[in-house]
Amino acid sequence: MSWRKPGSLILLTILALFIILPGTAQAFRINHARAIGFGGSLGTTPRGVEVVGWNPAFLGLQDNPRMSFNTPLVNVGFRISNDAFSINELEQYFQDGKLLASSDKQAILDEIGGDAFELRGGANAMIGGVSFPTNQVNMAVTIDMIATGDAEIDKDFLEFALYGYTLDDVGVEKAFHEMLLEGVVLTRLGLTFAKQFQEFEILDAEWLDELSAGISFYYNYGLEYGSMDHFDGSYYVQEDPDGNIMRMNGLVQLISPDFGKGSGVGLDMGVAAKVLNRRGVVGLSLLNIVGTVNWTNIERRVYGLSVDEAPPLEGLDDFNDWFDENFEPLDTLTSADDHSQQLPKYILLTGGWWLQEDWLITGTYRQGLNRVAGGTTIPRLSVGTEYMVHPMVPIRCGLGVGGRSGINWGIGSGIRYRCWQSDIGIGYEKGIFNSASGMSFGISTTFFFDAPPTDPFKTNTYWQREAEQSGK
Amino acid sequence: MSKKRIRKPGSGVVLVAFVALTALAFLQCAPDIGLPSWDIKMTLPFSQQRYGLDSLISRPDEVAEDNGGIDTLDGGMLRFFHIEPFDSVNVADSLLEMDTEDTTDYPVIVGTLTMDSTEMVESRISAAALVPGFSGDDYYDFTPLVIPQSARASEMDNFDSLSVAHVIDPNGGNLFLQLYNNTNLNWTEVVADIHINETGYPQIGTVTFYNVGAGQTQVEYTDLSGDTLKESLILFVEGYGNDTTGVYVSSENGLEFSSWINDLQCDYVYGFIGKQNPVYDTTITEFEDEDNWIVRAYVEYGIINVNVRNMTNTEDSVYIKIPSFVSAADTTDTLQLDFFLEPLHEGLVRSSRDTILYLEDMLMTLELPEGYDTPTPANQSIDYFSKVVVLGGGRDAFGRRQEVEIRSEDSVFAQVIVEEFDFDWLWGVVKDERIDLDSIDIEINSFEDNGDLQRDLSGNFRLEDAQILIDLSGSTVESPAKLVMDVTAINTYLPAGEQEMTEQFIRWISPGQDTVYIGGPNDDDPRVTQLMNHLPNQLMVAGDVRIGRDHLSEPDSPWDPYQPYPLRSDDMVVGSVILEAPLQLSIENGTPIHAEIDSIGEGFESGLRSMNMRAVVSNTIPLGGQLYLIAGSFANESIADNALQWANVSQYLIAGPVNIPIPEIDQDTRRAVEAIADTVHLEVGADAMSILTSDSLFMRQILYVEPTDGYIAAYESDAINISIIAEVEYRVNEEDDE
Repeated sequence: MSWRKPGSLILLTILALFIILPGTAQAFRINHARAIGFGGSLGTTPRGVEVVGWNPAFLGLQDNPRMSFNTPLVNVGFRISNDAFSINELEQYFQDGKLLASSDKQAILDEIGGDAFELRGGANAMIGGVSFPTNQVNMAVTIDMIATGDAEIDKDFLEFALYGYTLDDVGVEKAFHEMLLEGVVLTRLGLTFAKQFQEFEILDAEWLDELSAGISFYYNYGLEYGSMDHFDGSYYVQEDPDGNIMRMNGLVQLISPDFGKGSGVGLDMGVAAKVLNRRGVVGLSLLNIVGTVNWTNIERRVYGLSVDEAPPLEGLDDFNDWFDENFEPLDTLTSADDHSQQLPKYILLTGGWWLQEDWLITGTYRQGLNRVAGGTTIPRLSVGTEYMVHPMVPIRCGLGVGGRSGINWGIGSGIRYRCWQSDIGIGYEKGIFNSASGMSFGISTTFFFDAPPTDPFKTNTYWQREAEQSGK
Repeated sequence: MSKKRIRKPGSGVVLVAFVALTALAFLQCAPDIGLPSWDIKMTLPFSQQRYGLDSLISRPDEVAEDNGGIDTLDGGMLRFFHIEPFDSVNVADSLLEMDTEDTTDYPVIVGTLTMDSTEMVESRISAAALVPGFSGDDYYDFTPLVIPQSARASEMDNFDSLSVAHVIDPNGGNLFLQLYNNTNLNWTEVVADIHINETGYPQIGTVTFYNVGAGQTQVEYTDLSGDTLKESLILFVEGYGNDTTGVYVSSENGLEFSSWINDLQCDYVYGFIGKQNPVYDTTITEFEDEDNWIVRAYVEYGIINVNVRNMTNTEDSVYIKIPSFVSAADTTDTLQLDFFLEPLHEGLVRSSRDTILYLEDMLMTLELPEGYDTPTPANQSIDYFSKVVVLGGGRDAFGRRQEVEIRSEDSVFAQVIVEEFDFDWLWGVVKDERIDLDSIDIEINSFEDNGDLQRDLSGNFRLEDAQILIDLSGSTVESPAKLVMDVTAINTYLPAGEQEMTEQFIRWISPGQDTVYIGGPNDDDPRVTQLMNHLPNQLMVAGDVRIGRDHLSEPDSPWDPYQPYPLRSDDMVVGSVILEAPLQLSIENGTPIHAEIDSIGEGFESGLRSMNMRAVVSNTIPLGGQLYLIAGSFANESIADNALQWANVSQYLIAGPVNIPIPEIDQDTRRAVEAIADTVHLEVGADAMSILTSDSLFMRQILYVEPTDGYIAAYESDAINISIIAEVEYRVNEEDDE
C-alpha cells in the first residue's frame, strides 16, 4: 500500500492506534516513579538531580545531597490512558480471534461517553544527570528524553468502522471529522541553579526555616514530531435514477519534520521553603513558562480523496490505476515550512507535612496554562503519603482528582541503601486495577552522596552529628 | 517510645497490604489484547445503467468532439445529426478564363474607284475645215452639207487628271461629249466616234447629235462600261445637214467639241486619284474552342492585337470598331481605333500599324451563337466593323499631287488576334461544369464502443424522417445547379456483404438556395431513412455540383438551359453536409441489449459473507422488458464478451430478472404519460456468491426489451434507469479469526 492511497492509510493508522494503545497520556511531564506512587503528587520529596522538572528551588534546600546522579535505563516511566475502556473491557472486546457481536459493537460505542474517543500516552527517560554544589549555588545538569502523544478519534468514525453503511443507511450521510493525532519526541538538556536565601530574617517570620529559589534552563532538541491536525471524511450512498450517488471524501493533513529538525528552549522557575521547624515544605514552580520547540523543514502533507459518483467496478484488478481514475487525491507537500510547538505550561503548587517521623503527607495542585499536546487547563489536585515501614523501605500511595485523568490513584515503594535509592510506582486511572482505563508505571534510581535526611525528625540529630564530627 | 509503638505494629500491616496490593496491580495490569474480527456491512453502488433513448445511440457530449451525435429538437425530441463541412471550392476559376489565340486576317478591298474629275477636254473642227476651199468670211453654198473627209478626225486635248482608267462594266459611267454648233449651219445629224488617240485608235464610243441648229449646244454621252479611258482621245466626226446655199461662214465658226467624265467607276486608274468613298467591312472572330458562352463579362485582363497594313499606292484612312467591347465606366464608349496609312511605298513605315488593345475594365458583350438551342450551335464571335477610305495619291515634297496607280482589288490588310482573357465576372451560359465536392468520410462515433448495441438493435430500431441537409448558406454561386451525391452507409458490425448500402441522390439547386434537403419531412425520399437505419458507423459522401446547359436541359430540369447566369471570380461553393434524423423507435421483435462488459478483476475478497441488492427501476419510455445481471470468471474480456450473452443468461445469472414496468403511452405524442418506478430486492444466492469471489471476474447487464406497440417518440429525458446498490457484508480480520 502506498501513500497514493491515503484513505486506506488513514484508516489503518487510526485502527492501529485504536488497537495498540490501551491508555492515554496524561500530561507533558516526567512520569517519575515516586510521583506515580504519590498519585501524581511528588510534592516535596525531590532532592538533588530529581528536582528537575518539578521545582528547581528544591535543589537549594539545605537537605540536598552534596552530589547526586542518576543513570539511564533505570529511570523510565510511562503513562497510557483512554477515556472509555478499562483493561477488563479491552480484554473483553479486543482479543485475537474474537468475533464482535452486534451487542459488543454497541457496548464499545456506549463506553465512549462523548463525541470522541481519546487516547493519550507519554513516556520519559532520564538519560543522565548530576547535581553538585558550587560556591554560590547548587547546580544540576540533566539530559532526559520525553515522548508524548494525544489522539482523538471521532465516535462517528468508530461507529462507521464497526457497523459500516447498510441499506437502511442509504440516503444518510455519515460524516466524521475533527480527529486529531499529535506526538512529539524530544531530548532536553537542563541546567538548574538553586540558591538558599540566608537573609530572610528580614521577613521576621519565625515560622520560615528555609527559603530557596531555583531556575532551570533547557535546550530542547526535537527528535520527532507528527501531527494530524485535520481530518474530515464522509460517506454517502443514494440510488438515483440519473445515476447512483456515492460520495466519499476525506481530507487529512499530516505535519512532520525531518528527523532532528526541532529545537527550542525551556525555562522552569520556582521557590521553595521549609516551615514550622522544617515539618512543612512548600513549593511553587512555573514549569515550561518558556517552552517551545521550533520545527524546521516541516512537511505538511495534505491527503484527500473525493468521489462524487459511484466509481465503476471495472478495473478494480489494477487498483492503483482504478484509484487514480476515480478518485481525486490531493498530495500537497509544503517543505521548508516552520512550525512552532508550544510545550505544556504548568503552575505547580506543592506542599508536604511530616506527620511524624517517617510519615509524610503531600499535596499538589497543578494548573495547566495552555491546551497543547500533553497539556490541559483542567486543574488537578492530588494528595499522597509515604511511610517508611523500614529504614530502607518506603511505601507510598496517593490519589488525584482532575485533569484529563479524572480520578487516579497510585502506589509505590522503593529501597534506600546508603547512597542508592530506587523507587517504583504504578498508578491507575478511573478505576481499580483492571477496571481502570489508564495506567502509569515508572522506575527510578538515583545515587545521593552525603545526603542529609529530609525527615525533620531526623534532621536535628543529623546536624548534631555533623557538628560533632566537625568538632572532632 | 511512642514513635516506636506507632511504627512497629502498623508498618507490618501496611507493608503486607502494600505488597499484596502491588502484586495484585502488577498481575492485573498485563492485559492480553489483540485485534478482534467483526462483520461490517457496506453499501456500495453496484451497478447503474441508464438506458436512455439518447444513450442508446450516443451521448450529447460527443457532438463537439465528433461533429455529430444527438441533440434535441424543439420540445426535447431527440435528433441524431452529424455535420461535416466540405472544403470550399472555387467555381469560376476556369470559367472566368478564356485561353484563346484566335486570329482573324481580313483585307478591306478598296473596291471600285470613282473618277469624278471636273476636267473638260476639247477639240474643234474649224470653219476652214468644214468648207473646202474656204477663203475667208463669206457666204458659201453646201451641196450636200457634210463634214469633209479631211476634217473628220479631231484630236481632243489630253486629260490631265488621268492617264489610264479602266471602267467597270456595267454601269461604269459615261463619257460626256458636248457639241457646240458655232456655225450658221443646221446640222441634221452629227456622229462622233470616240477613239483613244493611240495606235489603232481603239474606239470607246459613238455619240450622235441630231438636229443641231446654228448656235445650238447639245450634250450626249457614251457608256464607258468595260472600256479603258486614256488621257488622249480623238474624234472621228461625220455630219449631215439640209442647208445648201447662202450660208455665211466666218473663220471663227466651227464645230466645237467638249468632253468630260463624271463619277466614272473604274477598277483601275492611273492618275490623280481623289478621296474615294468609304469602304466598309464587317468581320468576325470566332471562339473556336469555347463551349461556354459569354453574354456579358467584365474584363479583368485581356488583349486584342490589331495589325493593319496598307496594300495600296494611295493614302488611306482606316477605322476599326469592335462593338463587343465598351467601357465599363461609360457603356457608350465603344472600343474603336483609326489609322492614317501612307501609300505602300518601299521605306515608308507608316504604311502599316501594329496596335495592342488592352481591355481592362471593359465590358464584353456577345450574342449567343447561332443555333444555340440546336445540337450543333455555331461558335460565339466578336464582330469587327472596318471603314477604309482611300484618300488619294497624296502630294510630293513640293506639294504637287501625285499620280498613282490603283486597282479596285487593292486593299488594306488587317489582322486581329484575340488573346487570353480573364474576367472578373460574367453572365453566360456554361456548357458543363462539374464542381467536385471533396469526398467526406464521416466516422459516426455515436455508436462508438457500443458495437453490441448496434448489433442488437440493427433491424429492430428505426429512425424516421432521416434527412441529409446540404447547407449552402455560405455559397455565392447564383446559377442553378444539379447536385449529384452518392452516399454509402457502412456498418462494420454487420456480416461481410451486408455492411455497405449506397444510394445516389440528385437534387436541383435554385440560384441562391441556402439549403438542400434530401429525405426527411421536406423531401419525399425514404432512402435516407433506409441508409440511417443501416446504423452506419461510417458514412461516405461523395458528389459534385453540376452547372451548365448540358445539365439544365435535362428533361426534369426546371430551368431554362440558355438563360445566362452570373459567375464571379470569388464564387465559392461552401457548406456542409448535415445528417439528421429525429429519433423514433419501433422495436418489432424482443431484443436483448447487451450493456458493456465490466471487468471487475479479482472479484470480491474472500471475506465476503453475504450480499443483498436493491434495484430501483424508473422508466419513462413506453417499452418494457427484463433486466438480467450476469457475471463469470474468464481469462480475458474477449472470452467474457462471447460468454456473457443472452443465450447464456441462466448459466451466469447473478441477479434478476428485474421486471421493467411499462408506463402508459400517450397515443398522440407516443410518449409515456408519466414515469413509472419500482423497487426490487434481490437475493444473491450461494452460487452467485461463489462467482463473485472468483478471480478475473467480468460482469454485464442485459436488458431484454420487449416489442413496442408501434412507434415511440424519442425524447432526451426519456430513459429506463436501473440503479442497483449492494449491501456486502465483510468480516474484518477474518484471517486472524481463522
